[in-house]
This record gives sequence, structure tokens and C-alpha cells, in this order.
Amino acid sequence: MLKKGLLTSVIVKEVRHIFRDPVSCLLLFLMPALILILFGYALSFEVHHMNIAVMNPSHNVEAERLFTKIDANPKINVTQRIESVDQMDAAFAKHNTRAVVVYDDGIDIFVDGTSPTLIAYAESLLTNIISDFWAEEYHTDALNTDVKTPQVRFLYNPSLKKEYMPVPGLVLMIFILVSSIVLGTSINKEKDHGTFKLMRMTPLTNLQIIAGKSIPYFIISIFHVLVVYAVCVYFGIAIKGSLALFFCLCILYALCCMSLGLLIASLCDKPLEVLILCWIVLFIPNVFLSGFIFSVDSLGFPLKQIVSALPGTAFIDAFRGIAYKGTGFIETVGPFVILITETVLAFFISLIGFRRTLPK
Amino acid sequence: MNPVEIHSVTKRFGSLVAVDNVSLNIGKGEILGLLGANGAGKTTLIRMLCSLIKPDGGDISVGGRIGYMCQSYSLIPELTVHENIDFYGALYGLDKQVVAERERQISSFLKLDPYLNRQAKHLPSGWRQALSFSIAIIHTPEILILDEPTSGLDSLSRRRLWRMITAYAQSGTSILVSTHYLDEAYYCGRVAIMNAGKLIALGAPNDCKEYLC
Repeated sequence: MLKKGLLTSVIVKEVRHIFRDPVSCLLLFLMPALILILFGYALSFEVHHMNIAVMNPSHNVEAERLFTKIDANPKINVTQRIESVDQMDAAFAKHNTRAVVVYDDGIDIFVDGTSPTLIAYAESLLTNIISDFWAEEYHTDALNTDVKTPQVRFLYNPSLKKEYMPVPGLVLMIFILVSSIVLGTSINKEKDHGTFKLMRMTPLTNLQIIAGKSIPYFIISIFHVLVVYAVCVYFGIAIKGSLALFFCLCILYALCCMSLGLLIASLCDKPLEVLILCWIVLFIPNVFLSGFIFSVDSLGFPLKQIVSALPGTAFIDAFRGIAYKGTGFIETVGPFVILITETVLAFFISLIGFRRTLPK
Repeated sequence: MNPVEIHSVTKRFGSLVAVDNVSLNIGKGEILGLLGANGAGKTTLIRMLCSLIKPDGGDISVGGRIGYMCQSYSLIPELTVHENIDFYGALYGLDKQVVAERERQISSFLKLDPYLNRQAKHLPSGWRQALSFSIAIIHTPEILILDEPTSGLDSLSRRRLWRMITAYAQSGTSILVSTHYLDEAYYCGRVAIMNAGKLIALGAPNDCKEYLC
């Protein structure tokens, strides 16, 4: 028989333990709150503002009425008008355009086939609006021969191959794991073992220590870039754009993850703190909000603006552009600027942080 | 001019005065014991000597290379004994042959030979201490600073380490050893006793007897 007093003592000890340990508090309260907020509030799974482009080559009046109706829908913004099919690629590369509606002899809807959550949503939303439109025009006379049924086509991934969807997201996770989490914890393990202190007694500088520790992880990251490429080849996913640009993007993203890992390591003392912080500030936001699982379009202001600045979002945008749509550097310059800025900023802030936490 | 000269050094952490106006010298080939309870300021004084932190006031002059062994051993657990020695030797800028020669001397002096290919994390704690000691002397420093090297060791290992220290001092190296074991004072030429940041006694162990028992 267990004495009641004994059990109570353990419970009381554990409660004190939890509330006095910042790491436990973080895990027990902040992490679930973050997940609840992300899934419950932010990711209502519904697209709020989808940008589309329209094309009306025959200058049809009925088409203009349809476009006005589409634009009137609160979830869709008609942001661009194009004149010919040749401009379609450019339209998709700019303004986050997710679909193009073409009204000619028939109605064609072109949907960006590389964003998994968007495909079904864009398709059903647009076809519903169009059938409502016909219902209003002809007073529900569905048999009227003038009614044009829209044809939906998926660009960049015409057969909706499922392998296309997760690739950039998986790369995103691998690099956060290898370049941020493992590098960051390994640096703080050295702090723990006191080896940093001894290394500082030698002629080495902090910068040399950090560079020496980071380079092997960088080489491992390059290895993973090659693995990613091999996986793409294996699943028959051809890189449409420039291969050099594709590798530049992957390496830049790996460097960005390393810088962020260093930054987090420079702010913490224990490897466990680095691990948890990497999960909370890098892994969860980048994986759930970058458009890999849920479309960025489902986020409202100001979350959408914040999310657009995440390295993961920039990477996924540029990855889909270069690999699937064949966009060049000019069209993907935005994500590149975001990644370069964040890499450089995080690296310099981490140097300042290390000056504080490492013995000078 | 002594190899180590410390003049009225002070270090504050916020409102806490960790080291309060301390002055002392260490002569060539001398073993100076730095004694005091935990929190007396020994480690802070040592970290200033190693220029790991800057003093708020006073001067420290150190004439020569420093070898340092800290409480946490500073070993890389996944590397073998040989690789640890190699690694730190290279960081001090020593040539490969010089490191190999030093490793041979040190390992026969400390009887480390049977453990050379064992990973540091699998060493018994006494031998881990010996490895940590060999890393501190790999670059033949003129000044050797040992921060509580015997803490956590059993009495046999403590005695073994002190034998290493006293034998090594005969090469003319100036050695500063901090400890909170009062009986270890008698291995030292002189002892400096610290309390609450202040130096309260400095002299031969026999002259400081009132503090040692």
C-alpha cells in the first residue's frame, strides 16, 4: 500500500520542479500555445486572398461581366490582366498569381499545380463562381447552349504528380535539422564540456572556432543538396530552370539555416535550450507556415507579411519557381534577397552573442 | 621580475565583488596553492590570469605561455587520448613531430600509454584528469594554471595528480593550483588563502596554519 503522504511529496516536488525550470515551462505551455494558435487561428485552412490574372483576347462583354463578378468575391483579387498566352508564365512568376482565367471560345482555368493546398481550393472556388454567373445570366437555364463549362488545367505539374508537392518542404526540414539544430547544439555541447574555454586559451579567435566548427556541417549540407537532386531525378522531377541557380538556392538556404542555428546557439548556454528554441522559432513556423503544408494565401494580415519574411517561405517560393516553373534569377530575386539578408544579419548578431556568452 | 605578477586586481559582477584588491606573485618553479571555500573568488582570479575575462581594476602581468586545466577537464569526449593531445597541440601551433615527441614524453611521464587509443569519454576519471593535465602542458608552458584539478577525485587519484604536479614543477614551470582541500596546501611552496574575494593570508603552509585547520 502506498502511503498518501509519500505520493503527495513527489507530486509537490514535481510541480515545483516544473515551474522553476524555464525549459519545462517553455515546453509545457509555450509550445502547445504556439501550435494551437498556428492551427486554430492562423491556419483556418481557407484561402483569404488569392491573386489571379484574367485574359480576354476577344474583348467579349460577357467575359468582362464574369471578371467583375470574380473580382467581387472577397477571397479573390484580380491583380493582373494579360493579353496573350505567352504572358502566362510571367504572370505566374509575379504578384503571387495562383491562377489565370482565360475567356475565349471556352473558359479555361489554369491553376498553379505546385502548391498542394491551393489546387483543389482554386478549382472549386472558381468553377462555383462561374456556374453562379451562368445561373444569373440565364436564370438557371442550365441547358442553354451559350453556357460555357470551364476547363481546369494544372500548370507546371500537369498530371498532379504527388511527388512534386513535398519535395521543397522536405528539403526545408532536412536543412533546419542538419544545419541549424545539429550545428547549434554541437556548439553548446562544447560550451558545456569547457572545451571552448580551452580553445580560447590557444591562439584561435572566436571567428576561427566558429568557422572551424561550421565548415564540416556545411559540407554535410552540400552532400544533402546532392541527395535532394538525386531524389528529384529518381522521382522523375526535372529541374526546369537553371541547375546552377537551383544549387545556389539550396546552398544559400543551408547557409541561412546555419547562421540561424549559430544565432540561437549564441543566445543559449545549454544544448537542450538550443534544441527547444530551434524547434519553436525555426522548425514549427517554417514547416507549418511556409506554404509547404498550408498555402500562404490562407493567412491574413499581418501574419502573411511576417510569414513572407521567413527563410522557409522564401526558399519554397524560389524552389517552386526555379525547379517547377523554370523561372530565372530576375523573377526569384525577392526570395534570394530575403535569404542573403537573413544569413548575413543572423551571422553578425551571432558573433555579438558569442562575444557575450563565450569567454573573451 | 616574476613570471606572474598580480597588482591590486578587482573584479565585480554587478554588486558582487568577486575579487577584491588582490596582489600576489608566483616565482619561477614555484607551486602556489590558491585556497578558499567555493565562491571565494579563486576561479574568477584564475580566469583573469588566463585573460578569459578582463579585470575591472589593477594590473596582471604574465611572462610566458600559459597552460590551463579547468574544472570541467575540457576534453573532447569522442576523440581518443591521442587525438585529444594531437588536436590541442595543433591549436597551439606546434609541428606534428613536436607534438608526437611531446606526446611520447608526457605519456611515459604520466603512464598514459595503455590508454592512448581509448575515447576520452570511456576513461576512468583519474585518467581523464591525467589527460587534461597532459593537454595543459603539451606546449611546454612557462606558467601552469590548474583550476581545482583534484575536485571530485578519490584520495588515491588526488595523490597521484599531486605527484605529477610536484614532479613537473622541477622543470622550472611556475604553477598555480586552486583547491578547496585544505590538506593539499602542504604540497605547495606557498599558499594564498581567499575569502569573499579578499586575500586573507599568503605565505608558506606552515605560516598559514591557523587558516588550514
